[in-house]
Amino acid sequence: MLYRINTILKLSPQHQLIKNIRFMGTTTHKAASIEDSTRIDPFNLEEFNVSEVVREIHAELKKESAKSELTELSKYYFDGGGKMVRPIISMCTAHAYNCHTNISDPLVYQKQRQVALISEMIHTASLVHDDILDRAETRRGKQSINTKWSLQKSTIAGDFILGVSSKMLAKIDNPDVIQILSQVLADLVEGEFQQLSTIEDESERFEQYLSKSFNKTASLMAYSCKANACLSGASQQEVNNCFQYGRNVGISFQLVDDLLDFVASADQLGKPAAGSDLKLGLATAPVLFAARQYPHLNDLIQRRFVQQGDVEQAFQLVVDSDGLVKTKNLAQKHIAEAVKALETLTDSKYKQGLVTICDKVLNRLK
Amino acid sequence: MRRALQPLYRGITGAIQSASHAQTSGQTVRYLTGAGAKGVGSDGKQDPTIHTQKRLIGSQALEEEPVLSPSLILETDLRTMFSEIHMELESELSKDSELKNMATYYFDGKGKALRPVIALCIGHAFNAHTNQEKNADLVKKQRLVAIISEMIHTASLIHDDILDHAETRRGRASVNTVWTPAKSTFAGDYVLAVCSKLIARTNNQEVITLLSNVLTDLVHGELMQMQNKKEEDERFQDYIDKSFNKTASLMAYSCQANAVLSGATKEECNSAFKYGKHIGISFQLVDDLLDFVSSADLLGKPAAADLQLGLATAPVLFACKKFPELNQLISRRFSEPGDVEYAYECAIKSGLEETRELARNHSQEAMDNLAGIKDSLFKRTLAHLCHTVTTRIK
Repeated sequence: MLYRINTILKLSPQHQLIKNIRFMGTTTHKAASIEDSTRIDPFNLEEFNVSEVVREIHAELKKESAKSELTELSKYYFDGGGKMVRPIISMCTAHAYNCHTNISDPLVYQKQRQVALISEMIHTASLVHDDILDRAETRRGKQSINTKWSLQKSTIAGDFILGVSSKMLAKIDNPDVIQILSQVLADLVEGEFQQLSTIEDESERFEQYLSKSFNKTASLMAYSCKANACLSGASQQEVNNCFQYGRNVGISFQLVDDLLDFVASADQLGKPAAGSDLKLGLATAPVLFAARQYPHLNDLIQRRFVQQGDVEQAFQLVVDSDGLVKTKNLAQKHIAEAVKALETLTDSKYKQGLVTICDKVLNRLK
Repeated sequence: MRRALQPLYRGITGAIQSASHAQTSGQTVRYLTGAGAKGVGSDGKQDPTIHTQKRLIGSQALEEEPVLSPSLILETDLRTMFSEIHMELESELSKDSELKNMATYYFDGKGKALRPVIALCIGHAFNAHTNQEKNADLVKKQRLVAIISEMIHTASLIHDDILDHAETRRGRASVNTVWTPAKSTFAGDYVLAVCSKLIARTNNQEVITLLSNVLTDLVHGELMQMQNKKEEDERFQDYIDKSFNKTASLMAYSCQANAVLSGATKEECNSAFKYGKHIGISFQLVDDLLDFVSSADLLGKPAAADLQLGLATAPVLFACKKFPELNQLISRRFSEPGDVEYAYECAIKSGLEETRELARNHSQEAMDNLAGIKDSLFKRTLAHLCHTVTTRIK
């Protein structure tokens, strides 16, 4: 890992920045030491069987699509090329809370696994509709669904994935879980609309950004964690703690995403980079922080960087300012909150896994 | 040729108009409880459509009983429904949010609200059958199912209008014209998300499972509409299947859900499903018929729209028997110049009567399924609904 970072670092000031940010310090854990947590890597755990997740989703979609074109359409984004962060967080949470409440009923775990699948499907359905809205041309290094097929077919592909996931949700046979996960889709849509609008009042902008980040990213993680804690029979307090874990990890995830948009290169990310949020007119944390140092940025934010030279100017100002550092600090703060939420949880290798996830979210390169 | 046929379809539209005029005018109640119930119109002359209604009711031996307009009976239920829907959609959104305006745009109370009416009537009718009329909690849940059915329907309208590039609906600009198609997609998703929460609130596993079937059916229907069955002899069945998916499925499952809630037996719940299924198919058949005979102002959306969208519906499919060359036009989805006009003429000449007859058969089938249900005001209303669905003009 270190060697790889160094080879990249030779390249440019932006990449020098990556080094500074990466080594600013990893999280301090009260629950486990860093060496302990790196032993359990949830992203490599056999039992989570992430490739199985993809296969199972394919099977559910195929079952409902009756050999129509919907099979190919709906499976398109479930190609195993995604990070699978959500299902992993979901399943790790499930195991951790099952250890805590001492549940070993395989039926419970079955349902929790369904929650993981459903969360991934809701997420992907919204990506499909997202790409239509943003007129995206690529995703994960390949042609976007709306470019490969018509807008009509992409719309119904998204609807189909939602429809199948709602049937799966019904089968879980738990109205609380259904209520919890239904909130996710509502939040995703609200987040999308928030992203499309620009707040006039500068002082409200950061709050709006955090609210949007919750809705677009953290909501899904938070609610799927909550649903799984619920299924494990945990107490209300513990269920709420689990929600806070998911929420803080999610917000941190988005902050790091927005940070990487400024510093990582396109090949690593798999989607257009270096200011692509700016090009979409989006003012994310680094920009909002930078605007406090360079108030002139507020005008550019207000007009969503449409004028000639706006994107370049904003990009430069962000790099010159302490915006990136502040973003990383905020991400760290949320991760610390996430770890804190796990305090009262019984120790287990899965709890350590949840801590490792925090580490990975904070220090990822893509 | 057109001129010679004018008396024929004037006759059909005339019949439709006189029946609906009676229904839409304020005189509905008097008309039906007085002379109307005996097959005579308010002007004292024999009205063929009332005779049909009488026949329907006659099969239930109810011809002496007055039938009331559903919108009057359910007035209390319906009056607050749209404000409740608004409340559910707006509850978590900020006051001036664009999403709020988009999501509530089609819930303007101007639609027919047919689905909630059907769901509520089935609910009440089955409650009367199982002696649960006084169960307030039960009625509340059935009302929730009715609200859900209207919301799922509207969410699908939003996506439909985007897919069809529609410009108007119910006499005003469509949601995708006022805002953008892409944003409208999300508005539709939002309505579905809120629906999903409401479905969970019914707290009844069977109901939740039944209603969750609707979404995938809707998508299948949409996809079927985009494609053409290659085999000509499969086309009609395909059209009926698509009509089930796109229209009847929602009605069928919400009827079944409300029967389940009332505590009816499995067989009775299946009958409720079949009522919804057949009235839904009848409704779609008449919808497709009206696309050929009604004017745009009356419908609130463009007329002859189906052909322009490349869709071959019942009137055209029936017309194929007399005009087999239509099959080729169907295969190419009326894409060549003159196709739409030719298909229109053929359908007007020979597809309409059979479509109406089929609609009547399905309505009858719907009502026959309720034969085993105890008589009540709501059961009679369900019969009246069957009649209204087949004789409406918009």
